[in-house]
Formats: sequence, structure tokens, C-alpha cells
Amino acid sequence: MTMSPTMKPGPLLRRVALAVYREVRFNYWPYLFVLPALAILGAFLLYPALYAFRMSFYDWQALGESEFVGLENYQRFLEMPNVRLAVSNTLYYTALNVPSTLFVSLFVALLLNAEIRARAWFRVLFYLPVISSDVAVALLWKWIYWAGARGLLNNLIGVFGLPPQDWLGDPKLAMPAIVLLTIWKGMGSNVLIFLAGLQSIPPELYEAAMIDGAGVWARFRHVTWPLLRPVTLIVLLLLTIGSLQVFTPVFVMTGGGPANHTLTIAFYIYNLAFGSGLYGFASAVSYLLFAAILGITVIQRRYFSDVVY
Amino acid sequence: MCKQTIFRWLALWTILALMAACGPAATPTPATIIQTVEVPVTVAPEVTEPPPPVTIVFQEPWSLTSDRGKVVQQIISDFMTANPDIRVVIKDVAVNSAVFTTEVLAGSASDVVMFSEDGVSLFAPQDAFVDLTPYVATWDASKRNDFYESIWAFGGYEGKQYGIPWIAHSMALIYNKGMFEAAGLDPNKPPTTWDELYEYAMALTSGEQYGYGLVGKQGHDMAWSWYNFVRQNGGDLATETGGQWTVALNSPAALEALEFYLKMKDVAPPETTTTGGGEANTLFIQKRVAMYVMGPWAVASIRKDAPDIEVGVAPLPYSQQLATTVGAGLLTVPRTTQNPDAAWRLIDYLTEVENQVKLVSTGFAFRIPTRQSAVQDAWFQQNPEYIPFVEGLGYGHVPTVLAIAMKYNQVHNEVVQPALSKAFIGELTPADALAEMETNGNPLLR
Repeated sequence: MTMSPTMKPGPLLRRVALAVYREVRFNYWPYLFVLPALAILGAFLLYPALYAFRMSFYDWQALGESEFVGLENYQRFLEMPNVRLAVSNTLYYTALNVPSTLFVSLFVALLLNAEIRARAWFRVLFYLPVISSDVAVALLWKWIYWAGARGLLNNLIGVFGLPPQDWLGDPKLAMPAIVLLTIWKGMGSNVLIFLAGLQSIPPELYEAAMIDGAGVWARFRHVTWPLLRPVTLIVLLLLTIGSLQVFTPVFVMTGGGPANHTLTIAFYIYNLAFGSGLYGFASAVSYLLFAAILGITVIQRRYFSDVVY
Repeated sequence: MCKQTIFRWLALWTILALMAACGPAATPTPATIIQTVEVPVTVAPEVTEPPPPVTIVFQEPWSLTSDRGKVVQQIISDFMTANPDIRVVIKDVAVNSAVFTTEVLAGSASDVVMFSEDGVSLFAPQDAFVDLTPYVATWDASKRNDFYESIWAFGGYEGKQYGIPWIAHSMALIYNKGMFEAAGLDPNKPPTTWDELYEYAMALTSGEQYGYGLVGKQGHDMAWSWYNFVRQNGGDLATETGGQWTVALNSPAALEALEFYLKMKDVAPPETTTTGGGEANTLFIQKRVAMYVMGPWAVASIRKDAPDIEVGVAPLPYSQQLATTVGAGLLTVPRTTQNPDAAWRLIDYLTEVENQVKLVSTGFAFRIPTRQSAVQDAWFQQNPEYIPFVEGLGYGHVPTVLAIAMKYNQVHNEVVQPALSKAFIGELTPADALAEMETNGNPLLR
């Protein structure tokens, strides 16, 4: 929207402008130093995001005339084939991935926090998957899940007399198989956060609990777990946001199949934009996903803010 | 000046210097010098220097350090020798919709761009290209008519020609002659019908070896694999009646094709549900399957990775008619070009038969020429495995849905692929899967 020459900024706008001016006028050095980073983020993150918001109101043609369609792209959301399935698959993935990754990460962090031999090496090993390429890891796990007797995992379960499974081709197994990969891949960063949390707990509290006769479980239940609540909230938020945006393993391993059983919202958006050329509609779905993530994050923060110690 | 202020200024200058170092080089290119510097005329009027060459950019997908990139460089070098008034800069960046759109919007699109077969149908409606029809009209009829019609059509939109096919592919049955002999089959008589395909595949299935590399992973590869069977049975993807397009896949021909496709699971490996085109190629190289369907690049890939396999290539087996998927690499001129004439001269040169053969036959032979006379080249006599692919351009046809490529892409991605996968894993009967394609696909075509 452009402002007409006769229009004067309102009192609020003037106050804000004045505050910004004073801040920059008298304290400009920090802003100069962060300017390069701000410019990069603005050009490659903020501007595209805002542009996508504008696109979501258009039947957007990349090179031709785009037609303004108002809220039509948002209204079409539930009418499109596969949308409900993509939403339910994403929620299913999130429901599987968030608690399992959280508890596995916490368990591993507790082990790595203990006084064990070669602790630093174990910490490095658990963190290695995090810095590995997403695509390379997905390809690796695709081979691990190879169907038939030649698959690595099938060979492993064959030792226990179990029959080979079609891990990525069976509708019931495909999503849990992807979750298993993402637990392994993402665990390292969560373990790191939990470790930081564990090391911030004062050892005196454990000593006091031991003097009171608390065992291992009681110490965890009454000291560790309550004091880890703030850290757990961070891990929970990050996991939820990441789970709702899962893309790479689906793209590489299953292509959304079999029969759309691993079609997630992020992969659906990708298909809409780069498969079908529906950039406007894909932008609208992206903003709906953004709104959903924002809503869930706010709810989580409110719930946990009451119970954080 | 206090120390703190000196430090601040030094820090600021350091940041600015770093930013300048990371930015584009300040040295102007020779072309920029020619355009911007005014040189006083001091020479005698009778001494005239030749005009500077026009510079055009040619965007092609192969790295200049690859074997194919080196061949492209050689061809371009020959072109510049023959046309000293044109200088060609090669940009080895693969073009896709996102890259091309960005470049056109930024005004930095190349002068000649190689697109895949759907490039013109996707971007010509958005007025992205220079109309090449007047240039084509300058050709002798012998050159224009030498292009396979099936491939030529990919470059057309609403009666105008926006893309000239440079390289092409069709699909063929690729088989392991050694496995044929071991199974008691004549390696010089590959299957020609669906029934024979199944019988042969059954004979070739034993233990850990399977007869056919069936594609069953949800996605584009599975869809085009099945489309071949649909067309071989006389079916089509969509039809137009009174200006309205409808999905034509809920037909008896398509149903038979789907039932046969699913029957081939009997002779395919257990990992078929996660097998795409690339995996099928790997299975063949691993000698786990004896036959599969792929394009000419597969022959080069097998020769490179499994030279001990004696490869046989045959037209796709059929039921009613020969049919195969075809595709092309199209040379286009984006509307942003300043030098359409020079761009056309490059396209004209690249599409000469000898240059097409040179490109596809050197090193990793991955595609076939788009001109019929190319098959007379000695290279094809020395490499007869590629001839069935060339023949495929003769009976292959451009999809009818090319006219509605944008809309059909959505049907293809969102409706056909999942419905096909549902039939493949038994979640829907073949008839129900086809009905779903029609029910969910038609609204998207309106």
C-alpha cells in the first residue's frame, strides 16, 4: 500500500519512527555490525517469505499475467485431493516422532552424562548423524530397509527367525520406518540440549536426595525431570516444528507412497509448486502450515509455562 | 581521536572491505568496455576494423569438465570458427522451471536454453520464448522434414514453433542375452507381445533371479511405465470433447493394461514396491533381473558398470499396437535475448546431423539424434543396440495431453500416481483405481 503525499503519519507511527531514529542515532554501531547478516536474512529469507504470502492470493503465473483470486487458494485447501490425507499423515508422523525422539534422546543423554569410559567418543558418535547430509542418510537407510532377504534389516531380523518385511512398501510399516530414521538422525542435537540441561543441575541437589535415601529412579523423578522441564520444552518445540515440516526422507525414500501413506504436508506443498506449477496454491498451503505450527507452539508454551520450575 | 573511535572506524572499514571482496569483480568484461568507453576517432576513414563479435550465452545441463561437456565445448568451438562474428559463452547449469523462471524474471536468461520435452508446453503459454517459426521457414524442406514428427511436436504451441529438438529418447525393452541363453531362450528373438513378455519373464525367474524389473514405487517412473501399456492396448490418457478435456484412463483398454502390469509382479523381485526407474537399472546391472524397460542411457550405463553383460535391446512388447514414451531436449530462445538471430544460427548449427551424432555418440551415449537421416551414420552400424530407440521415435507419439500439460501434470502427480500405487499394493482393485483417477482427475482438468 502506498501513502498519498497529503497523508501524515499518525501519532503512533511518529512515535515509533522517532524511537527508531533515536535508537539508531545514538547507538548505531551494533546495527552496523549486524547489517550484513540482516541484509542476507532479509534478501534470502524474509523477502521470499513475504513474497510467498502475496503469491498466496494469486493464481500465480511465473512469467505471465497473474490473476488476483483473493482467498480462493485458502478456500480450496480442503477440497483438493490428498489434502486431508497429507494432514493426517503429518500428524501421525508427529505423534510418533516427537515422544519417541524425546524419550530416546533423554535416555541417551542420561547415559552420556554418567561417568563412563570414552564418554567424549560416544558423544561424538551420537552427534555424527546430525552433521551428515540428509539425502545421503536417507539413501543409506533406504538400503538398510531394502525389501527381500538381501536387505540389511531383514537379515538382522532373520537372525531371530522373523520373516523379511517390505519396510518402505508396506503401508503399515512405511511411516514408522521413516520415524526410526529421523530418531537416529535427529537424536544427536536433542541429546546435546539435554546434556546442557543435565550439567546445569547443581550436584548438591543429588547429594541431598541421596542423604534422604533417594534411589536412582527417585533422583530422576524428583530432581532431574522437574529441573529439565525448561530444556524439555525447547526440545519439544523444536521436535514438533521439525516433524510438521518433514520432507527429505519422504522425498528420497518413498515419494509419498505407498498409496500416499507417507505423503506429508511439506512434500505435498513441494509437489503442488514444482510438480504441478500451482505456486499460488502451494504458497497458501505453506502459510496454513505456518499458522498451524505457530498455533501449536503457542499452546505448548502456554501449557509448559505453568509447569516450568 | 580517541582509541575507541579509531577502532570503530577500522572495524567498519574491515567489514566494508570484506563485503567488497565478496561482491562481483569490479573489472569490466571486454564487452562492457566496448559498449561504454568512447574512443576518439583518429584513424583514417578507409581503415575499418571488423565489428566486435556478438556474444551469446548457451545454457546446457552438462558440466564442462564431464566427457559430454567437453564434446559440447568442441562443437561450440567449431561453431565459433565457422562464425567469427559470434562468440558463445557456455553456461553449464541444468534448467528446470524454478531456475528458468528466476532467470527470466531477473533478465539474466541465456540466449539459447536447452529444455526437457515439457519446457515449451509449460512456458510458451506464458510468452517466455521467441517464436522460431519464421526462422524454421528459412530452412530447406529436406531439413525440416528430416525431424521425427513425434519429437518435433514437443517444440510447438498453438501453431508456432518455440523449441527445436536437439536430442531425443524413446523407451525399449533391455534384456540380458546371457540370461536368455541360460534359460533356453533365443537371445535374438526377444518377446514381442505381452503374452510372450510374461512367458519369457516366467522362464527367466529362478531363485534370486527375476524375469522383469517392474517399477512399483509411487511416482513419475511408475506412471510412465504403465502409460506405455495403456497406449500399447489402444488407450489414452485424456480426451477432448467440445473443448472440454476429461480423463480417459477409466477405459477397458487401460483396465487390461493395469491388470497386466500387476500380473508382472509374479516375475519381479520382492522390493518392487520401492523400485523406481533408477533402482530397476541397478537390479539389471546386479543381474537380479533379466529384462526391464528404459531409455538409451541405460545401454551406456550397463556398458560402463557391467561390461560383462551382453545387452539386447528390442521394441516394447505390445498387445494392440507398438507404442512407447518419447522425449526430447529442446533448444529454445528466451524472450529476454538481445540477439535472436545469432541464437538461431547456433541452433541451426547444433541441429546439423553430424553435430547431433557427435554429441550423443561420444563417451557415454545417452540419447539419440532427432533427425531421421542420422541413423545412416556409421556409429549406428557399429552400435546396433541404439537402433530400436531410433525406431521408437517413428512409432512413438507425443502425449495428447501436451496441449493441457500444466493441468494434466496435476492429475498425473496428485491423482494417477497414488491411485496406481493403491492398485499396486492391493488397497484398491484395478477397476476402482481407474474410477478414482477419473473421479478425482476430471475436476482438475476443468
